[in-house]
Amino acid sequence: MTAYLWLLSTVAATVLAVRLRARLGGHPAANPVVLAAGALVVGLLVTHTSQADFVRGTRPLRLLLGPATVALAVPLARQLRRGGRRTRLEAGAATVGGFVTAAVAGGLGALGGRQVGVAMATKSVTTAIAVPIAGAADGSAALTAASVVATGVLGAVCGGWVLDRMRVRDVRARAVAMGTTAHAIGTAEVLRTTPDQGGSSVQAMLVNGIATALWLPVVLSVLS
Amino acid sequence: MSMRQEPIVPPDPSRRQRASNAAVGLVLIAGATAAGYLVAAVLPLALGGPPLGVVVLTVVLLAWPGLHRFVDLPAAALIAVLGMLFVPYVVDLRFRWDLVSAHWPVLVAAILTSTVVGLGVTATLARPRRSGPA
Repeated sequence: MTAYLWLLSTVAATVLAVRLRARLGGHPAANPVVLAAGALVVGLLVTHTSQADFVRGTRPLRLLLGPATVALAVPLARQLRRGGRRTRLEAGAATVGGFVTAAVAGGLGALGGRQVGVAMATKSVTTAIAVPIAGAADGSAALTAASVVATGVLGAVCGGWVLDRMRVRDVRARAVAMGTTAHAIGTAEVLRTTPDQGGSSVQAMLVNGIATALWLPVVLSVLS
Repeated sequence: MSMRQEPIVPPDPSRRQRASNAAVGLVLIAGATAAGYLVAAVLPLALGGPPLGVVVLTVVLLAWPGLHRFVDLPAAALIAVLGMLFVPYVVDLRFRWDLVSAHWPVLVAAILTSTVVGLGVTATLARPRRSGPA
């Protein structure tokens, strides 16, 4: 029973974090996911809650993530129906951008050993794709999942700021970059800030995920 | 003694229709999710159930665009809470802290560098080219 208090706490912490962000004028550093998670971590430390209890309590939310991810097909289908040269350009950008991201991350990660290298190479695709790839390459599923989440949070919090510094004004290009590098967490941020561009971000996330699932296992098997 | 009769207001048909459409849409999304997990279990692909479910539902919506009237509302509701659904996974980092802290310098360098490079490369390539003077 007490485990389900963590379900209520997660919902309440997120609602409060969303309100806090609105009070702060929507500042990107006040990311509701990070604020809510920070508050919950403090709660877990204070109450000495075990991982098993927390996972059991939040299972309904974890189960809902599958259908919520599948719901991203709705803006994606709209985007694909519009079609055109721009859509193809964005798909190509996501493929190349995803490759470059994985190569840079994997190359630097390899300095920490094979498991870190594999986790880093897969970190920009969503967990449902990254973990099977890492598993097939004898990587650590836990380290991969942690890296995927850390990358998504970093992209959601700092991505807009980085793109501002790079003077990227085109909202569709920004959405594609966020979906490619910060997967579903970045896409959720795009859908929150510029909902009309959600289709571009979902397409980039999916194209990068599928492309990575095709080429990365081959590259990892050659390297090993 | 007379009893005042309240007028019987029929339910708003458009509201009922919307609720009914949303229920059908939820079933469609749940069906696509289940289909994604099924394909992932049957085929030796390095893709999990949800991404395959996205592919399934996208194909269905492209083939039958009229289904948008069923899925639009439940999809918008699910997408609205997508950020919240990641919160437990971010909290899970606390339980993997030993693993993360053991490699933190390499992890920080790799994640920061690749994110900045990836954002720059992707955004540059995704921008439409300006055509030169004719």
